[in-house]
Amino acid sequence: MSALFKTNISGWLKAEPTERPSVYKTTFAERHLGNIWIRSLHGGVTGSMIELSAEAETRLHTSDSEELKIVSSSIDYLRISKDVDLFARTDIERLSKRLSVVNVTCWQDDEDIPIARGIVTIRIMR
Amino acid sequence: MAELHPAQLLFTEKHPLTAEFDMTFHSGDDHSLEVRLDAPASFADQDGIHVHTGFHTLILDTVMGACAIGELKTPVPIATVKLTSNHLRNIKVGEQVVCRAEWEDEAHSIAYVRGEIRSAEGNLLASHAVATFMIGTAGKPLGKKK
Repeated sequence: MSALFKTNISGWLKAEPTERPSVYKTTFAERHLGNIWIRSLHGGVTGSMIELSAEAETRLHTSDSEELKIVSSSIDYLRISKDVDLFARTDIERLSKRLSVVNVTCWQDDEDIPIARGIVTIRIMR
Repeated sequence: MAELHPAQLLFTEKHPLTAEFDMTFHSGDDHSLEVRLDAPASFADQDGIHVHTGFHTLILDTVMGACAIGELKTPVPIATVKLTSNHLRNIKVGEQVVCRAEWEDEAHSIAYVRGEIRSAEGNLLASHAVATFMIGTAGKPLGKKK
Protein backbone atom coordinates (compact mmCIF):
# COMPACT_ATOMS: atom_id res chain seq x y z
CA MET A 1 0.00 0.00 0.00
CA SER A 2 1.22 3.47 -0.87
CA ALA A 3 2.56 5.52 2.03
CA LEU A 4 -0.07 8.06 0.99
CA PHE A 5 -2.69 5.89 2.66
CA LYS A 6 -0.89 6.06 6.00
CA THR A 7 -1.15 9.84 6.15
CA ASN A 8 -3.48 11.90 8.32
CA ILE A 9 -5.52 13.10 5.35
CA SER A 10 -6.14 9.52 4.24
CA GLY A 11 -7.27 8.78 7.79
CA TRP A 12 -9.61 11.78 7.74
CA LEU A 13 -11.04 10.78 4.38
CA LYS A 14 -10.99 7.09 5.35
CA ALA A 15 -9.38 6.54 1.94
CA GLU A 16 -7.81 3.29 0.81
CA PRO A 17 -7.06 1.33 -2.36
CA THR A 18 -9.48 -1.42 -3.38
CA GLU A 19 -8.78 -4.87 -4.83
CA ARG A 20 -9.50 -3.44 -8.28
CA PRO A 21 -6.51 -1.81 -9.95
CA SER A 22 -6.72 1.99 -10.16
CA VAL A 23 -9.86 2.14 -7.97
CA TYR A 24 -9.85 3.80 -4.55
CA LYS A 25 -12.49 4.08 -1.85
CA THR A 26 -13.45 6.43 0.93
CA THR A 27 -15.61 4.91 3.64
CA PHE A 28 -18.43 7.23 4.64
CA ALA A 29 -18.14 9.12 7.93
CA GLU A 30 -20.44 11.78 9.42
CA ARG A 31 -17.70 14.39 9.08
CA HIS A 32 -17.89 13.99 5.28
CA LEU A 33 -21.35 15.54 5.10
CA GLY A 34 -21.92 18.86 3.33
CA ASN A 35 -25.69 19.40 3.26
CA ILE A 36 -26.74 17.86 6.57
CA TRP A 37 -30.48 17.93 5.77
CA ILE A 38 -30.29 15.75 2.69
CA ARG A 39 -27.12 14.08 3.99
CA SER A 40 -25.04 14.58 0.86
CA LEU A 41 -21.24 14.48 0.79
CA HIS A 42 -19.39 17.79 1.01
CA GLY A 43 -18.17 18.77 -2.44
CA GLY A 44 -14.74 19.40 -0.94
CA VAL A 45 -14.60 15.83 0.36
CA THR A 46 -15.24 14.50 -3.13
CA GLY A 47 -12.68 16.96 -4.49
CA SER A 48 -10.10 15.90 -1.93
CA MET A 49 -10.66 12.25 -2.76
CA ILE A 50 -10.24 12.97 -6.46
CA GLU A 51 -6.89 14.68 -5.82
CA LEU A 52 -5.69 11.97 -3.43
CA SER A 53 -6.64 9.15 -5.82
CA ALA A 54 -4.88 10.84 -8.74
CA GLU A 55 -1.76 11.23 -6.64
CA ALA A 56 -1.90 7.61 -5.44
CA GLU A 57 -2.23 6.32 -8.99
CA THR A 58 0.65 8.49 -10.21
CA ARG A 59 2.79 7.24 -7.33
CA LEU A 60 2.42 3.68 -8.67
CA HIS A 61 4.16 4.80 -11.86
CA THR A 62 6.93 6.91 -10.34
CA SER A 63 9.84 6.20 -8.04
CA ASP A 64 9.87 7.09 -4.35
CA SER A 65 12.67 9.59 -4.99
CA GLU A 66 10.37 11.65 -7.19
CA GLU A 67 8.31 14.24 -5.37
CA LEU A 68 4.73 14.75 -6.50
CA LYS A 69 3.01 18.12 -6.29
CA ILE A 70 -0.65 18.53 -7.16
CA VAL A 71 -0.79 21.75 -9.17
CA SER A 72 -4.39 21.86 -10.30
CA SER A 73 -7.71 20.09 -10.28
CA SER A 74 -10.95 20.68 -12.11
CA ILE A 75 -14.00 18.89 -10.80
CA ASP A 76 -17.49 18.55 -12.28
CA TYR A 77 -20.23 17.55 -9.87
CA LEU A 78 -22.67 15.48 -11.88
CA ARG A 79 -25.27 14.33 -9.36
CA ILE A 80 -26.30 14.81 -5.74
CA SER A 81 -24.33 12.45 -3.55
CA LYS A 82 -25.55 10.63 -0.46
CA ASP A 83 -24.27 9.30 2.85
CA VAL A 84 -22.60 6.13 1.62
CA ASP A 85 -19.09 5.10 0.54
CA LEU A 86 -17.46 6.84 -2.40
CA PHE A 87 -15.37 5.14 -5.08
CA ALA A 88 -12.85 6.76 -7.42
CA ARG A 89 -11.58 5.20 -10.65
CA THR A 90 -8.40 6.73 -12.01
CA ASP A 91 -7.02 6.79 -15.51
CA ILE A 92 -3.70 8.39 -16.29
CA GLU A 93 -4.22 10.35 -19.48
CA ARG A 94 -0.60 11.40 -19.85
CA LEU A 95 2.54 10.65 -17.87
CA SER A 96 5.65 12.51 -18.93
CA LYS A 97 8.93 13.13 -17.13
CA ARG A 98 7.56 16.24 -15.49
CA LEU A 99 3.79 15.95 -15.45
CA SER A 100 1.03 13.47 -14.78
CA VAL A 101 -2.50 14.22 -15.95
CA VAL A 102 -5.12 11.97 -14.39
CA ASN A 103 -8.83 11.57 -15.07
CA VAL A 104 -10.87 10.48 -12.05
CA THR A 105 -14.48 9.29 -12.03
CA CYS A 106 -16.42 8.97 -8.76
CA TRP A 107 -19.53 6.96 -7.99
CA GLN A 108 -21.37 5.60 -4.98
CA ASP A 109 -23.94 2.81 -5.55
CA ASP A 110 -23.54 2.28 -9.26
CA GLU A 111 -20.38 2.70 -11.29
CA ASP A 112 -22.49 3.53 -14.34
CA ILE A 113 -24.04 6.51 -12.50
CA PRO A 114 -21.07 8.75 -11.63
CA ILE A 115 -21.60 11.56 -9.16
CA ALA A 116 -18.44 13.52 -10.06
CA ARG A 117 -15.49 13.53 -12.38
CA GLY A 118 -12.25 15.40 -12.25
CA ILE A 119 -8.97 15.98 -13.97
CA VAL A 120 -5.86 16.46 -11.86
CA THR A 121 -2.47 17.75 -12.98
CA ILE A 122 0.53 16.67 -10.93
CA ARG A 123 4.07 18.00 -11.23
CA ILE A 124 6.75 15.32 -10.93
CA MET A 125 9.91 16.70 -9.30
CA ARG A 126 13.02 14.64 -10.01
CA MET B 1 -23.18 40.26 19.43
CA ALA B 2 -22.20 40.53 15.76
CA GLU B 3 -24.81 39.42 13.23
CA LEU B 4 -24.17 35.95 11.86
CA HIS B 5 -23.35 35.53 8.20
CA PRO B 6 -26.22 33.65 6.44
CA ALA B 7 -23.86 30.76 5.80
CA GLN B 8 -23.65 30.19 9.50
CA LEU B 9 -27.30 29.12 9.42
CA LEU B 10 -25.95 26.15 7.50
CA PHE B 11 -22.58 25.79 9.18
CA THR B 12 -23.87 25.78 12.76
CA GLU B 13 -21.94 24.13 15.57
CA LYS B 14 -23.98 21.02 14.72
CA HIS B 15 -22.44 20.84 11.25
CA PRO B 16 -19.67 18.22 11.30
CA LEU B 17 -17.24 20.41 9.37
CA THR B 18 -17.73 23.38 11.68
CA ALA B 19 -17.29 21.08 14.65
CA GLU B 20 -13.95 20.02 13.18
CA PHE B 21 -12.58 23.45 12.23
CA ASP B 22 -12.97 26.68 14.14
CA MET B 23 -14.52 28.71 11.33
CA THR B 24 -16.02 32.16 11.67
CA PHE B 25 -17.29 33.89 8.56
CA HIS B 26 -16.51 37.59 8.08
CA SER B 27 -18.25 39.27 5.15
CA GLY B 28 -16.86 42.38 3.50
CA ASP B 29 -18.64 45.32 1.85
CA ASP B 30 -17.24 44.23 -1.51
CA HIS B 31 -19.32 41.02 -1.85
CA SER B 32 -16.52 39.02 -0.30
CA LEU B 33 -16.30 36.54 2.54
CA GLU B 34 -13.26 35.60 4.61
CA VAL B 35 -12.50 32.74 6.94
CA ARG B 36 -9.33 32.63 9.00
CA LEU B 37 -8.25 29.24 10.32
CA ASP B 38 -5.26 27.14 11.30
CA ALA B 39 -4.28 24.31 8.96
CA PRO B 40 -5.22 21.16 10.91
CA ALA B 41 -2.85 18.27 11.60
CA SER B 42 -5.68 15.93 10.61
CA PHE B 43 -4.94 16.85 6.97
CA ALA B 44 -1.17 16.36 7.11
CA ASP B 45 0.48 14.99 3.99
CA GLN B 46 3.24 12.37 3.79
CA ASP B 47 5.97 14.68 5.08
CA GLY B 48 3.95 15.42 8.22
CA ILE B 49 4.93 19.08 7.84
CA HIS B 50 2.42 20.32 5.30
CA VAL B 51 -1.28 19.72 4.77
CA HIS B 52 -2.42 17.95 1.61
CA THR B 53 -3.95 20.05 -1.17
CA GLY B 54 -7.18 18.20 -0.43
CA PHE B 55 -7.51 20.55 2.54
CA HIS B 56 -7.22 23.56 0.20
CA THR B 57 -9.96 22.13 -1.99
CA LEU B 58 -12.24 21.40 0.97
CA ILE B 59 -11.88 24.90 2.43
CA LEU B 60 -12.22 26.65 -0.93
CA ASP B 61 -15.45 24.79 -1.67
CA THR B 62 -16.77 25.62 1.81
CA VAL B 63 -15.97 29.34 1.80
CA MET B 64 -16.87 29.95 -1.84
CA GLY B 65 -20.20 28.19 -1.32
CA ALA B 66 -20.80 30.18 1.86
CA CYS B 67 -20.05 33.39 -0.04
CA ALA B 68 -22.68 32.46 -2.64
CA ILE B 69 -25.28 31.75 0.05
CA GLY B 70 -24.55 35.11 1.63
CA GLU B 71 -25.31 36.97 -1.60
CA LEU B 72 -28.71 35.43 -2.20
CA LYS B 73 -31.76 37.55 -1.45
CA THR B 74 -33.36 34.52 0.17
CA PRO B 75 -30.74 32.03 1.33
CA VAL B 76 -31.45 28.57 -0.07
CA PRO B 77 -29.32 25.42 -0.25
CA ILE B 78 -26.81 25.33 -3.08
CA ALA B 79 -24.68 22.62 -4.66
CA THR B 80 -21.26 22.85 -6.28
CA VAL B 81 -21.47 22.36 -10.03
CA LYS B 82 -17.80 22.89 -10.90
CA LEU B 83 -14.67 23.71 -8.93
CA THR B 84 -11.34 24.47 -10.57
CA SER B 85 -8.35 25.04 -8.29
CA ASN B 86 -4.68 25.83 -8.79
CA HIS B 87 -2.37 24.96 -5.93
CA LEU B 88 0.75 27.11 -5.83
CA ARG B 89 2.23 26.63 -2.38
CA ASN B 90 1.95 24.03 0.35
CA ILE B 91 0.55 25.15 3.70
CA LYS B 92 2.28 24.06 6.89
CA VAL B 93 0.37 22.21 9.59
CA GLY B 94 -0.67 24.79 12.20
CA GLU B 95 -0.09 27.73 9.84
CA GLN B 96 -2.82 30.32 9.98
CA VAL B 97 -4.35 31.01 6.60
CA VAL B 98 -7.11 33.19 5.22
CA CYS B 99 -9.55 31.81 2.69
CA ARG B 100 -11.29 34.62 0.83
CA ALA B 101 -14.15 34.24 -1.62
CA GLU B 102 -15.53 36.90 -3.92
CA TRP B 103 -18.95 36.85 -5.49
CA GLU B 104 -18.87 37.56 -9.23
CA ASP B 105 -22.41 37.17 -10.53
CA GLU B 106 -25.48 35.02 -10.88
CA ALA B 107 -27.18 33.93 -14.09
CA HIS B 108 -29.79 31.26 -14.77
CA SER B 109 -29.69 30.09 -11.14
CA ILE B 110 -25.94 29.54 -11.31
CA ALA B 111 -23.66 31.51 -8.95
CA TYR B 112 -20.13 32.41 -10.03
CA VAL B 113 -17.52 32.81 -7.28
CA ARG B 114 -13.74 33.28 -7.11
CA GLY B 115 -11.62 32.19 -4.18
CA GLU B 116 -8.11 32.04 -2.82
CA ILE B 117 -6.13 30.89 0.17
CA ARG B 118 -3.29 33.08 1.43
CA SER B 119 -1.00 33.17 4.42
CA ALA B 120 -2.50 35.08 7.36
CA GLU B 121 -0.29 38.08 6.49
CA GLY B 122 -1.77 38.00 2.99
CA ASN B 123 1.51 37.94 1.09
CA LEU B 124 1.80 34.27 0.10
CA LEU B 125 -0.75 32.75 -2.24
CA ALA B 126 -1.36 29.05 -1.60
CA SER B 127 -4.29 28.36 -3.95
CA HIS B 128 -6.76 30.15 -6.13
CA ALA B 129 -10.00 28.84 -7.58
CA VAL B 130 -13.17 29.53 -9.53
CA ALA B 131 -16.42 27.77 -8.80
CA THR B 132 -20.01 27.61 -9.98
CA PHE B 133 -22.91 26.67 -7.73
CA MET B 134 -26.48 25.65 -8.53
CA ILE B 135 -28.83 27.85 -6.53
CA GLY B 136 -31.81 26.16 -4.92
CA THR B 137 -31.14 22.47 -4.45
CA ALA B 138 -32.79 19.94 -2.19
CA GLY B 139 -32.54 20.65 1.49
CA LYS B 140 -34.01 22.61 4.35
CA PRO B 141 -34.74 26.27 3.51
CA LEU B 142 -32.33 28.51 5.34
CA GLY B 143 -34.81 31.26 6.20
CA LYS B 144 -35.03 34.91 5.35
CA LYS B 145 -31.91 37.04 5.16
CA LYS B 146 -31.73 39.54 8.02
